[in-house]
Amino acid sequence: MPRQDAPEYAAHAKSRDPFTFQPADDFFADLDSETVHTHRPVSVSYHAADQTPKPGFESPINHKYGRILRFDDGKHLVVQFLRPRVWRIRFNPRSKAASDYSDFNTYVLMPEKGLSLYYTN
Amino acid sequence: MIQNTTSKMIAVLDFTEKIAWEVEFKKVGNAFYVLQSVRTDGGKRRIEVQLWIQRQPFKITAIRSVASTGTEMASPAIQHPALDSPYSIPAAMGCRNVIVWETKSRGLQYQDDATILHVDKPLTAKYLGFGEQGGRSLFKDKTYMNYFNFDNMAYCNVYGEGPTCDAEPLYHSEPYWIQVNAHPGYMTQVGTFVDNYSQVLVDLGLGAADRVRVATRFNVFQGIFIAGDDVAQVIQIYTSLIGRPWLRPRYVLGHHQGCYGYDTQELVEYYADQYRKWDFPLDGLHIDVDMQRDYKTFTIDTRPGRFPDPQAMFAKLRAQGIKCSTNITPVIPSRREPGFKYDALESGWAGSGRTGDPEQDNYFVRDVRDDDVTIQPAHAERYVQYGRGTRYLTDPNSERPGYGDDYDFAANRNSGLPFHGGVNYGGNKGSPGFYPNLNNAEVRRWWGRQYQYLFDMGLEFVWQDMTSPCMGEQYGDMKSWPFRLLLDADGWPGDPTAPARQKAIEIWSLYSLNLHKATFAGLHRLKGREGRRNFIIGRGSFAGAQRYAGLWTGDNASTWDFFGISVAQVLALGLAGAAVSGADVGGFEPAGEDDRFADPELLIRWYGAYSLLPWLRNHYVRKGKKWFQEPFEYENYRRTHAIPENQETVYRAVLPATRYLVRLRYSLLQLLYDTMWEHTIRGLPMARAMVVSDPLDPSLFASTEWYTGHQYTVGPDLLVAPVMQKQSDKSNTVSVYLPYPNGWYPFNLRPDSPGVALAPKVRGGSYIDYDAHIDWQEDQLPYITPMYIREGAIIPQMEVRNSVPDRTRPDVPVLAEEPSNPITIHIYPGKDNVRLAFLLCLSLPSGDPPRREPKPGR
Repeated sequence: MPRQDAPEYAAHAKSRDPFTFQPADDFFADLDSETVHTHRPVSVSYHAADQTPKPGFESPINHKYGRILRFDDGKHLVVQFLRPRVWRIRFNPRSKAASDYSDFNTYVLMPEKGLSLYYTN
Repeated sequence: MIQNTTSKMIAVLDFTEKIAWEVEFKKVGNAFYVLQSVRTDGGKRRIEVQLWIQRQPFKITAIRSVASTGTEMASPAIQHPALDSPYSIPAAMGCRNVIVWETKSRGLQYQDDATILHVDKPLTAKYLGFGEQGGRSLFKDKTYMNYFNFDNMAYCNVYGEGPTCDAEPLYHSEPYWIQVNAHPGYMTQVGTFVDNYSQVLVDLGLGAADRVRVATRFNVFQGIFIAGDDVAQVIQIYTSLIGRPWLRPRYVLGHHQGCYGYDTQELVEYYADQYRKWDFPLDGLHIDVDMQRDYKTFTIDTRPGRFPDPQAMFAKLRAQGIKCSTNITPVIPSRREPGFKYDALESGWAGSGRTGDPEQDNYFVRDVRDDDVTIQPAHAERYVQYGRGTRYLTDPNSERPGYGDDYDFAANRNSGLPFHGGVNYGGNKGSPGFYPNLNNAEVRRWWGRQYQYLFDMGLEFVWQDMTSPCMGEQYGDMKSWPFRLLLDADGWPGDPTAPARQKAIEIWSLYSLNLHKATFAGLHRLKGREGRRNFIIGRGSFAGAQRYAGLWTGDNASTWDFFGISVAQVLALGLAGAAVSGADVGGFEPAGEDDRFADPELLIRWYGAYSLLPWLRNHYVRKGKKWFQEPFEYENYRRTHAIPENQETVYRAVLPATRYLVRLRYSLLQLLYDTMWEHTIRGLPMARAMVVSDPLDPSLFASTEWYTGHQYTVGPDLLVAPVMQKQSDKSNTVSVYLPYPNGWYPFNLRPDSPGVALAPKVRGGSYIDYDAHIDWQEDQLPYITPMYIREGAIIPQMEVRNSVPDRTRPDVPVLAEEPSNPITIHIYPGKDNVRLAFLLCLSLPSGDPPRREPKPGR
């Protein structure tokens, strides 16, 4: 995939801004060459305390459908079923606590035409 | 406030599907946790999926008990405690516990904002789907994919290769694919969907042959995995989650003509008349931004010589059976014109009116940025662009589009004033403008109201364009927002933990999703649209947009490469629930700078391929580029210009061949309509890749893979095998594959006659050498595009009319009095079939089928 940069691109601070579109070949090349620092948890564990929402928190993860697990580096992972044959893995690299995860969905998951959100604002 | 939660979604689906199930969690020794879904309805307990979560090294393994198809291959025995444990799924007769999906060890990797999931790629697995992405094959392998909405004209701007490149980010992002054939001979396929508005990246076996890496750049990584017995079931489950559309109006399935260049009322009426003169069916005319007054969205230029009487124009076309759309982009041009009141600009400025100060109340996206402290001050700002494989910078301080724009970038930048952008159609075409803040519900309601005038004039549907939003490269990154512009972030309705605003790069596809939603909701509320079905043909957005709009695949060109991907694009989008989708037939841009019209052979083949695909719109650009693309114009050209002798046949064939194919389509409109109805209920695509309609044919993943990307069935039973290559480069015969195990009859129906006698059935699993040469002679027209009918098929057919009747318009007597069109049912021998009673959608005497009215507030 032959891409090239115009001469002024590399010289400008814009080329070092992380808030940009990064072509997949660059992104994965950085990962593979280990030029960027990443985390890769080794192990995961279950803690009952992680399943308890913080007081006053609205709509925590509903444990009827899954569990919050804790990585060895302190981050959390949500594994839950949405349907008997559908599972979802959720991970927020910026999260600091299990209670950062809520029960809310994006606009994309919207199953029922009768829901007001489907066709109104 | 309506809250979109997982719990509510599950409750709704459980109620709709009438199932009961629960999730169990247990610790298995010190090494594993098991999370399993268990069906409990029907008085029986059945484990559906077990997720074995290995504690160290971290890994997730999904197990199912799957049935054999009877053609299973011996495969290496996989060792996993899940397959031989007291907690294993009890195996039923004829079933086997298999690993259907698995991460790699330590399969989650992350940076500050990006998350990467490493997933195992089984040896025999194939992958298809991926939305509208290009590339040579429906099945993709050893490639990267980028999902990031981009005005990527000619599909060549990041990597410089064009439509055969899988990796180009395109107008629309649908990061969804299906893994098939991981266990040959067993009923198991797994879908993946990445639910994230920012950039999504995929490494499909390129970095390592046994691995798929799936990454998101910002926000929460959400990987959704769907286990089905076959591809159809994966689609049904997936579309149950992301929603299926309401039934679209029937005329959507007709033939459409668009042009960036029908720039006067006279020209629009001329082409409508021409279609009728040539007895060539047409249901939709798409009038581009040409109709606007100086690119002012929602206006019609009623000045002399332009569109002086739009109401009369739309009425005249409607009486001819032609419904019109016009191009609506999410820009409100900001130049005030003395003596002209531009309602959308004035009301957008007035906004909410809460304080009386437009600078506080206006409805436009504000120029507020999360500044990069290394880029200061304003004169150092640059925007990144990609053009034909080169990454370069533009300078908003000094660079302006061809139409000129005298504004002070430094004064606007991060000022809190409306963000100053502008739409650019090349040359001096376009205008500076503001952008409605469509990530805000109140603004979406305002946006919807802006359509009233156009629909009062007689517009029937909407063509939603430049949806990212797309603007001149002088105004933002990659011809859209500045990446660090702060936008309202309402993408998680009701979630108190979601930030109120985020940088555009972090929620890149949300705006276009909201745009389609705003238009969809707005049309429902317009006066005069009560009880009517609306339609939007949209451009790039994100998964979920299919609830609101059909999708056209953006600015292509009249090349064999673009044509070559255009069937696979529709099939791939259909796998994702975007059933009404398609490319511009014939190509939008010319093939080369000096080409004035599409190659006639290309146009015929494109009509052939798209003759029974859901969205058939011929659309092209004039503006000093092409002269024409309407099929009858090739006949006019042939009669008035010297044509090389060796091309005389193909030029002469354009009109009869394309008209034949479109008339055939109109005779089969009920079949298309039935599949559209089925799609709203079950989510299955209207045009189906053979892996959907023939799941028991294992060759579709292997030796006949090429055919899988270019042949399709309409519903389950009508196979279309279009010629996809230039005939003059190949022999006159084309190879067709008839999937196993059913028999197939050569297509015997004709648009204007009862059809021909049924030829002998051909055994499924056969290759046919088919003479599909192009000729203008009537006896060859039915064979230009090979078609076959499955044994046992039930095919409804009607008389050809030049448009879909609209009996809901008592104000247009010629339509209201259109005689009824009885359906002939063709029943093919060979096997039982119970489809007809379920699928045939009969009209009420009013002309419309029963329609479920959405109830506001539910």
